[in-house]
Amino acid sequence: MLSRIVFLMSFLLISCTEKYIDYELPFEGEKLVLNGLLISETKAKIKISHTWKPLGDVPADVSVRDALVILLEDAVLMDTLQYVGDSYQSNINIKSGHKYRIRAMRMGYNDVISNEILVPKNDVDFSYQQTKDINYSLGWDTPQDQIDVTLNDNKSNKNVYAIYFDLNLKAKNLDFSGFWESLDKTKSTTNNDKGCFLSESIDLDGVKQKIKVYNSRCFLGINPTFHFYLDKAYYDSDSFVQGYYKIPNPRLYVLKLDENFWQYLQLKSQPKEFNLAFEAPHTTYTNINGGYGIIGAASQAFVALTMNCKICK
Amino acid sequence: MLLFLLISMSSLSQTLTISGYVQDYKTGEKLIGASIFNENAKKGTITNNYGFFSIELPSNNSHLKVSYVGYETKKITNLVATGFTIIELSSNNNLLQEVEVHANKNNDIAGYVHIPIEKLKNIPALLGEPDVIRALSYTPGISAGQEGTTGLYVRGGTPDQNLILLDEAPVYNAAHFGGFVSVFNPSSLKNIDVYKAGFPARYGGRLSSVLDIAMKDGNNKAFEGEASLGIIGSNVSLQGPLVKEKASFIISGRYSNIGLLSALGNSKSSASEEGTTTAYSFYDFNAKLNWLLTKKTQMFLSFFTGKDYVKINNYDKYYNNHLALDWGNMTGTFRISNVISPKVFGKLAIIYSKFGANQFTDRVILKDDGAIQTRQIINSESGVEDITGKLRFDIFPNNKISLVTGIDITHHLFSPSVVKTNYTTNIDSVAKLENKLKANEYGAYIEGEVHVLSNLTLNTGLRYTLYQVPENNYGGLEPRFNLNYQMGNGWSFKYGFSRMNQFINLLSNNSTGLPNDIWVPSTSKAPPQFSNQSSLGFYKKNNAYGLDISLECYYKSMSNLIDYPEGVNFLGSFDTKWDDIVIKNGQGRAYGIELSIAKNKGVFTGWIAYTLSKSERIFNAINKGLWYPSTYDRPHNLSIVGTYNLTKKWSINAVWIYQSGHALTLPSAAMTDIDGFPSLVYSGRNNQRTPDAHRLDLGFSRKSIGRIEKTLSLGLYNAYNHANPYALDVVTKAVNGGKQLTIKQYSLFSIIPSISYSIKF
Repeated sequence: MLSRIVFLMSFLLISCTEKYIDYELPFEGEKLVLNGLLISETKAKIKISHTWKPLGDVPADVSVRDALVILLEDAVLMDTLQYVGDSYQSNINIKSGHKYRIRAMRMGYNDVISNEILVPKNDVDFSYQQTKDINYSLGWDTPQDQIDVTLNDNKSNKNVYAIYFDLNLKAKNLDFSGFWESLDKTKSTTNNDKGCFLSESIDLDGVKQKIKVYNSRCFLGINPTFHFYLDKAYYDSDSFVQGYYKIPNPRLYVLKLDENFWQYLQLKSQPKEFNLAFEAPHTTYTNINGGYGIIGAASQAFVALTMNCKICK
Repeated sequence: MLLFLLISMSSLSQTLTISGYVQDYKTGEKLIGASIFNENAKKGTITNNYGFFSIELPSNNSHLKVSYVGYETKKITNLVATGFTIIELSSNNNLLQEVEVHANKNNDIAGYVHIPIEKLKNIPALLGEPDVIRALSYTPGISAGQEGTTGLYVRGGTPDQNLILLDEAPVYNAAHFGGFVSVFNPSSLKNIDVYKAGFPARYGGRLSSVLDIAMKDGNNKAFEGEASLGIIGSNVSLQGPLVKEKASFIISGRYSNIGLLSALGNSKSSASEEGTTTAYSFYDFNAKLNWLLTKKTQMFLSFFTGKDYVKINNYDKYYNNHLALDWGNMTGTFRISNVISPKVFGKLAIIYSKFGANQFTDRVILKDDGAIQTRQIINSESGVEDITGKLRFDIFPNNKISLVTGIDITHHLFSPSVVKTNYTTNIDSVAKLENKLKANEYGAYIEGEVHVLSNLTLNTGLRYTLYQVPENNYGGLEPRFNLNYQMGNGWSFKYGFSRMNQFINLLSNNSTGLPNDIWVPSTSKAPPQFSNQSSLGFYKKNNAYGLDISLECYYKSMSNLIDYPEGVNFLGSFDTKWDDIVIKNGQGRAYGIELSIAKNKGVFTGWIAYTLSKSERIFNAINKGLWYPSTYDRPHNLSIVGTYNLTKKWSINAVWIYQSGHALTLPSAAMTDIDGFPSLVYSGRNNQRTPDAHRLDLGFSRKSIGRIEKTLSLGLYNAYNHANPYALDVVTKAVNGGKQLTIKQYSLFSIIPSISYSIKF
């Protein structure tokens, strides 16, 4: 009996209750949302949708397909974007070193226009080295490739880079869960502050890519080398039944991002649940006047990778 | 020279000067704020913080009436000119039930609050443990934040803007984990003074409040003790003479019982060899020695230490993670006081204070055979350490003027973070985090109370503080001004102005009382905060009915505030370059009206406290540079506190509180993000509020008085089980095949019964 009483008291003491409550949140009205990353030497692709009430049913489809969308290059109207697939696409390629704005108009919504975005100069310089081949054996940590990527940044502290591996997932229709990444801090970085590194998922050419983003201000005068471990998550789609897949034509991409997009990525994640006790949600970052979303810019370089997985199909 | 002249002039007149101490007849405990009054001459004074008084009387009329709340009034005749006397008052148990919430002491100052220790025990508290911080939060203008937090929010300020002193030593962390109880054990306390405005010049270094707590000196006539057992903790206190009427001691200790309960929450799965064990405990220990070296010279040595411990261990066949946190305060005060002359009282104090927090993690990965494969040990420490010297003189030139002057010198040593680890690849980071920061703070002050007219008193002062950090010096004059006008028929008017500087900052992401609070000094990049506050009020006192009514309003501006940039918190990652990270040069403003109605006589006593207030902040880099409500801005705050003595043995007490919800940031819309997932749009900081909070706490106590006084207390916290909001979150819920965004409210404490039993002998 005593133990039951003590347990009850303990339960009361440590209990934390949760409940759904009725709450009225004012809604500012529907606004247009523009999202896209302008990458040099490629066509602009912009997705347009609209906002909805912060509480209540989540609409199944909020895309806006009938807007008038124009592209301004160095303040001159250059193109009207056409709706193709699920986004508005330009007929011309984006050029590095130029400034762009996107403007969208649609009946029933306020006109929106992005801030002027400078596409970084196309001088991405990096090297890579595959330092470990697949070494398959039964166990939780294999197969695994290690790839070292060195950014030749001339020891600049003003650039932001994103690195991702295009594993041609769309073609194979495989759903790989991600990759592990490790930084050799003694060699690569002198500052491991929060705010130097980000892991994000963004839509690039119709594929959700997991990107790692680095700000060179954190490297204080060195060209950093990053070590990526492509572990079994890349191969292990159905290992017991079908074995491991060898990825066809994998590529390593390095993007040089504009500072504006870095700011957006930094503030993209909001604290949730337990973290709300430590940090308030922050104001949503946008560079769209009259609406929401982000138009970023990047120049890019890539290299084809060779996967050495001997046991893969 | 001026002081000497004043003293000399007064001694030439045909008067006699009576000085001495007022103390408790049974214990010898000095009584702070006792009233000494000559009815014929209509002249009076009160004892200072050390129980000392000095009064000048006509040579042909030296009768005195000495009174103190809870004590029988004493009339004294035939006093000797320029004599030194010790006046002893007898406590009256019947009068204890009529203790005033707002005593006469420091009555000249607007924004002053006094809660007698005995009154604390009549206020129901969480899990039945009487508590200073909780009791203060039921007074106007002071809020304890939401449940589960430990901070004290005074007139729109933040917890780090409160100067909390225990026997003059600063206490940096005033509450135990989760705000269950403060670190102040009521059985060891003698007096609590709180200033929300009109700060006397002897205090400095914080913007929003001063909480000056004095420990008991110890009974120098007979042994006595107290012991109690409750859900939160067990408490023992002993005091008595070392040399009768010359030297005394008091020791008191409190240890938590929560560890017994939390152990039951541990889980273990024998099948998978997985498990989690948790343990929490805290303790407080107070000790004080008091030695009367001569009739006029007294020496004190007081000590306090308290700590919280949390241990979490989770394990399975392949790993064993151990996390141990501990944090706490330690203070020590050596004080010697001397009655230099009937008109001059002097005091010298050497004070040590330390707050430290440690975090120890031990991560072990095991092989199949149970042998250790890898082991990572990290021990991080942070804290602040102070050594202070204080010299003070209380001077009483005549009945119209009394002066307090002195100097304070403090050496601060800040250790924002010191990390030790066996994880060698992090060695660069470790070296970087071992920096310690030093600072010196010098203060000089003079304050004077001048009775300009029989019904008009001015209490003015000036403080100068010089603050030295390695790269810079900061200094500033801090004028203080208080006016008290007695309008007659129990009515009075008070006005106070004070300027305050603050030279330290608390980097904290919350106020749950976890050891992620880091104290850092002001720097050239984040210069000292300062505030200006004006406060005025009307007061009505009705002695016949024991009623005290006050209506005060205030306006406080704050400058050089700091906050965290959006998207940044210090949880788990702190760098000594904090002043590069935080947002600086913020402004704050807080204003409000406070109403208090207290009934201090009769079988029913209690008070109603209501505050209507607003507290806002502005930073260039937050909320688009617009004003926004501070997190703990609560426009309406109402407390109703009552005690009803059913019989001489039984009493019932109750507290009902109502608070507007605290400000928080909620979305103004939802949208699709660049990754194609739904996300919420936040367009303003603290743009909404949680639902209002309210709660009823009940307490019953039965006291049997005899040779051993026994008290049984039963309590019910949150009697009608209202779910008060701790946090709100917008979550996605699956509904009828679709998704719905809705708000989830997190609450901490539901209805909690409590029982405690105490004896006093």
